[in-house]
Amino acid sequence: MTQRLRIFLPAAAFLLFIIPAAIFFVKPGRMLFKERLFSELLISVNNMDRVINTFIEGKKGRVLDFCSDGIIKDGLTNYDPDAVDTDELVKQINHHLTKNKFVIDLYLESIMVLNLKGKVVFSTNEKFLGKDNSKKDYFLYLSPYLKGKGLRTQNLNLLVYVSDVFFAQDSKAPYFCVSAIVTARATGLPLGAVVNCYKANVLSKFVKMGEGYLGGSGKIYLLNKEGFLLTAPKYFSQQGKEVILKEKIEALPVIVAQTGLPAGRQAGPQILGLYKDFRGVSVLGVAMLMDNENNWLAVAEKDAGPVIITGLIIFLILITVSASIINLQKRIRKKSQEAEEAKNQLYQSGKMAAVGQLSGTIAHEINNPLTGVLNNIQLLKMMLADGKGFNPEDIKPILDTAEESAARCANISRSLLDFSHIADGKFNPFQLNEAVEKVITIIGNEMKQHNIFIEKRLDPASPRVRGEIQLLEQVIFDLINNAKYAIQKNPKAKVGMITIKTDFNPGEKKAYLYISDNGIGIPKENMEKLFTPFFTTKPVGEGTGLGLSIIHSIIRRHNASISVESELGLGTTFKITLPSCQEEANGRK
Amino acid sequence: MVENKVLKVLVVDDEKVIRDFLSRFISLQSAQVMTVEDGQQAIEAVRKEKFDLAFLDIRMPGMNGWHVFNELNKISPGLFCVFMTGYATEEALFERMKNLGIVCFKKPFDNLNQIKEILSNIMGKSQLCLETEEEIQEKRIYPRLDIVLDVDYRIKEAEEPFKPAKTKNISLRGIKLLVKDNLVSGTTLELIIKSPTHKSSCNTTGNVLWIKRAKENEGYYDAGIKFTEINFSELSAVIYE
Repeated sequence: MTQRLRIFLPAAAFLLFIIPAAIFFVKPGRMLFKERLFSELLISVNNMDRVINTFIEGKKGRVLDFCSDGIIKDGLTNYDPDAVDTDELVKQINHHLTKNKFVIDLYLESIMVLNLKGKVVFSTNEKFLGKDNSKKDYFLYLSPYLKGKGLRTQNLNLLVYVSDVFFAQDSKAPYFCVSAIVTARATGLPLGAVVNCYKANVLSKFVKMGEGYLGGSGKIYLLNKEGFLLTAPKYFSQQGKEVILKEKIEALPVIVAQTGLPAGRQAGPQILGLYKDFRGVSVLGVAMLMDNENNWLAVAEKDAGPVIITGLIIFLILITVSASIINLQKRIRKKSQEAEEAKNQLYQSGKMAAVGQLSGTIAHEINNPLTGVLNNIQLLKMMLADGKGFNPEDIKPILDTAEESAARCANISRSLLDFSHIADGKFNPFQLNEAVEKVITIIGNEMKQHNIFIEKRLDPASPRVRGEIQLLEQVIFDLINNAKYAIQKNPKAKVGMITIKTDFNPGEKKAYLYISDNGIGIPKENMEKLFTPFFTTKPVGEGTGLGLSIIHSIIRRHNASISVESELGLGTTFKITLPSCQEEANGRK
Repeated sequence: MVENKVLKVLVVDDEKVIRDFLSRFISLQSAQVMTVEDGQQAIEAVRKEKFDLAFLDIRMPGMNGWHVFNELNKISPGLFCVFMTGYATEEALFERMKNLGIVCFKKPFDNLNQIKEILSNIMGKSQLCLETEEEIQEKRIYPRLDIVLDVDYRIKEAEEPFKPAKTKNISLRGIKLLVKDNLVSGTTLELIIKSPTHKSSCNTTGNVLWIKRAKENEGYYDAGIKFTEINFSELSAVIYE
C-alpha cells in the first residue's frame, strides 16, 4: 500500500503541475517562456536603438545641412562684433534661421550659431545671443577642429557631435544638442559652429513606440552615463513630474555591473537577467549600450511575475520529476538487485524445469533398479515362505541383481542431487569428463527411449577446468536436450545420434567440449539470434527461448566461449572452449 | 489333458533387471516365460509361438508399449496384455482405462500377489479357450463398456463427408456401430468417437469385421469394428469426460 502511495503521489503531483505547465508552454510556442521573453526584450531594445539612431542621424544630417547654408556661412564670415551694422546682421541671420531653418524641423527647440570662441552670435532664441558656450560639451568636442587641428586629415564638413542631455541654465527643460562646424566657402577653414537644440522628451516618443511591442508590463527607457533617466519610464511614480535628468535609477548598479558600464564595453545588447527594477518589482531586463558619443543606455524590462510563476511551476515540476527519478532510481537499483537474484534463480529454475521435465524419466530410471531391489527381496521372502528349500546357487544371482540395482539407484540419486544442487558461485576445479558422465547418467535413458544414441568420445586425459560443475552440467544437459529436439524435428534422421567429445590443448591451456547432433540444423538467419533471450523457434508453450541465453550467460561467467556450426538437415555442433587448469591439477597430484 | 496346459507368458522390457525378475517370478508360478528386449522381438516371438499373456513395458526404445499392443493384437487376438510402467504420468491414464480392462502395474511392483492373480485368471480363461478354437474368437479378454456415444465415420481415403452414427458399446479392441449403410466387411473406416458432451473426441481407424441388420432399428445395420489405430489417452478422455 505504501509502495503504491509512493508511486502515486509524485505521479499525481506531477500531473497536477504538468497540465497547467503544458498549457503555459504550448501557448507561446515551443520556446521556453523565459527565453521568449528575453528575445522579445532584445528585439525591442534593438528596435529602439535603431529608431533613435535613425532619428539622431537625421538630426546630424540636418545640422550639416544647416552648416552648408550660405547665409549662415556669410553671416559668420561677415560677423564682426565691433562693426556698426552687427545688430542688423544678427537680426537678419536670426530671422533667416527662424523663418527658413527652424520651421523645417518640428522637434527643434532652438538653433544657435557659435563663433570660433564659442560665443553665440546668431540664434533663433534671442536670449542665447552673446552667451559663452565654450565650456559646453558640444563646443568642446569641436573646438580643437575649430582651432585648426586636423584640418588636413578631417573632413570638417562631416564632423558632427551629439551632446548628452542637459539642462539649459535658464530653462527647466532638458535638452540635447547636435553641433557641426561651419566652414568658409572659399578656404574651407572653420568659421564657427551650428548647434541645434532639441528637447529631450522627444526621445520618450520613440521609446513609447518601441514599448508597444513588449505588451502591458514591458517598458523601455534610456539612461545616460551617470544613470539619470533620459526618458520617462512607465510606472515611474512621480505623476506629471519631470523625471528626465532629475531621477537616477537605483537599479543602475546592477545594470552597470552587468554591462560593464561605464568602463565602456562594446556596444550591443546584453541580457541582464532577473532583478528588481526601480519599483522593487522583479523584472527580466535587457540593456543596450548605444553606439553614440554619450554612451546612452537603453534598458528594456518586462515584469517577471508570469515568469516567476512559470519558474515556480518548472521548479515544482523539476522537484517532482527529480523526486520521481530518485524514487525510480531506488526502484531500478532494487530491481537490478532483484534481477541479479532472478538471474541466479533463472539458472536454477532452468535447471529445475529440466529436472521437472525429467522427473518422469528419472522415476523410470529409479523405478527399474528399485524393482530389482524390492521385488527381488520379496521374491526371496516368498521362496523362503514356501519352505521348499532352495539351493544357495539360486539365491546368489538374485542377491547380485538386488545389490547391483541398489547401487544403480544410489548413483542416479547422487547424480540428480548433484545436478539440482544450487550453484553456490564458487569456482572449483573439476574434470570435464566427469560432468559429461553425470549428465549422461541422468539423461541417457530418456534419450534411449526416443531412439537417440549418445556417443562419448572423451579425451582420456580428461581435461580439468575451473568453474561450477553444476552450471556446466546444466549447459551440457540443455544442449543435449536441444539436440534431442532438433533430431526429432529432422525427418531424415531415422536414428538420433548425439556425439559428445572432449578435447584438450595443453599448449593453449584450453579444454574443448563438442556436442554434435544429426538434427534438423539451424537456418543461417537464426544463427545470430541464437543466444538472444526469448528467441525461440519452438511453438508457443514448448520453449521459452531462454535456454541458449542462459547457457550463454553461464559460459560468459566461466570466461569461456561458445560457437555453433550448423548445416540444414544435417546437424549442428556446439563447441565450448573453456580455460583449462590442467597444470594446477597435475601439481596437486 | 486340460491340466497339462502350461501358461505361456511373454515379457517385453528393455530393462534387464525387470526381465530377470519377472522371468524368475513367473517361473516360480509354474508358467513358461520368454523375455524379449523390444517390440520388434516381441512381434517375431508372437508370430512363432502362441502366448497367453504378455507383460508390456510402455516406454521402450523403438516401438512403445501401445504400439506393440496393437501389433500383437493383430497377430494374436486372444493374447491378454498387461502393461507396466515406471512413469507416474501414465498411471493416471491406466486408472481411467481400468473399465476397458486394461491392467497396469507400477514398477516396482506393489504386490506380487496381484501378478499371481492375473496369472491364475488367465490360466483359467486359456484353459476354457482351449476347448474350441471358435470360442477363442468369441471370448472377450477385454470387457465391453455399454455406453452410448456419437461416432462420425467415413470410408478411409474416400473424399466424402463424415456420416453420423451411434455406438452402443465400446471395448479396448473395437466398437459396435449402428449405421445406415450396408458396409462391406473388411472396409477400413475413419472414425471420430465423440464424448457425450462432444467436448473431446478420439480419432481412430478401424476395420469392419462383420455387418448385420439391426434387430431393433429398422433400416439400420449393426457393424462390428476392430480398431487398427487408436490413441488410448484420447479414448480415455472420451469415455471418462
